[in-house]
Amino acid sequence: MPDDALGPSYRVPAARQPLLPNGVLGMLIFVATEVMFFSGLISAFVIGKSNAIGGWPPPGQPRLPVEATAFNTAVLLASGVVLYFANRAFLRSERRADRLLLASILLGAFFVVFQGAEWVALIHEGLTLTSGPLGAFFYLLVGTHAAHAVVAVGILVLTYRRLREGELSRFAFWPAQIFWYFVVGVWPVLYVLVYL
Amino acid sequence: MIRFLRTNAVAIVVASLADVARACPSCASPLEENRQAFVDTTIFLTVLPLLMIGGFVWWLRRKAREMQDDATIPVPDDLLRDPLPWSKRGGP
Repeated sequence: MPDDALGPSYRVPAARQPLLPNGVLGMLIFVATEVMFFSGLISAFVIGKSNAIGGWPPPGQPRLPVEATAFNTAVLLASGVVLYFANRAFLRSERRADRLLLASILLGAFFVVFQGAEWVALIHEGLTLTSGPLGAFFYLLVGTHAAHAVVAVGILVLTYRRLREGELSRFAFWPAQIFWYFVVGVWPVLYVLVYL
Repeated sequence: MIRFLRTNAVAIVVASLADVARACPSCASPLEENRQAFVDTTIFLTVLPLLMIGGFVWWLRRKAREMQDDATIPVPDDLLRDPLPWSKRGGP
């Protein structure tokens, strides 16, 4: 048979693959429900804010720490960017993938701790769930996000453990990333709406 | 029959006495900003799930078509040039 009898671009049928791994599909459906959940909370906030007589934020309430939270927002966004690079390094089987993932987790954990410290200061200033509509909406929206952030950091820690043990597949890494990107992506919306 | 008619008559009288239900506090709000916020969020919450599901289905269709178009993989040239048949290699 001559060398080029089959042509330079001879191809064979590829094995059939699913469009999406099950874990990724499941996480996408879950995140879609979470988007609707947060949209409902945000809508309630927007209507409540527009219903406020005397302006928003209501007079006599403590001011929210806009600048400090802007810094914390940058930390959370940085965590998302670092996770992106961790994934790239992981796909290239680079050894720095675990260090990058750890950095992302630490930045995320810093965000959660910083938020907690902010809450303690606000509670001391008199902003509580029952102090008025500002407090009620603030703790509802930001608290719900914080709960998601804590769970997402936990998932990333488990992912990190599997990566260190050499048992992490990319199909297991993607769902964890999707959830963290959701937590990172929804925060700037909340920050602009609630703090500014 | 009389009992049935009496029950219905009472139900009609009670229904006619009831005032118009105000189930939506924002619809009757005197604040224009509040009414507008209600309309905006209604549109937002209606359109968002449609966009999400529609976008996902569109993306899946596109990916499925790409996979159909590219349902083959190229065979490396060195494999094609190898004169020894596969059957004599002792397995792939």
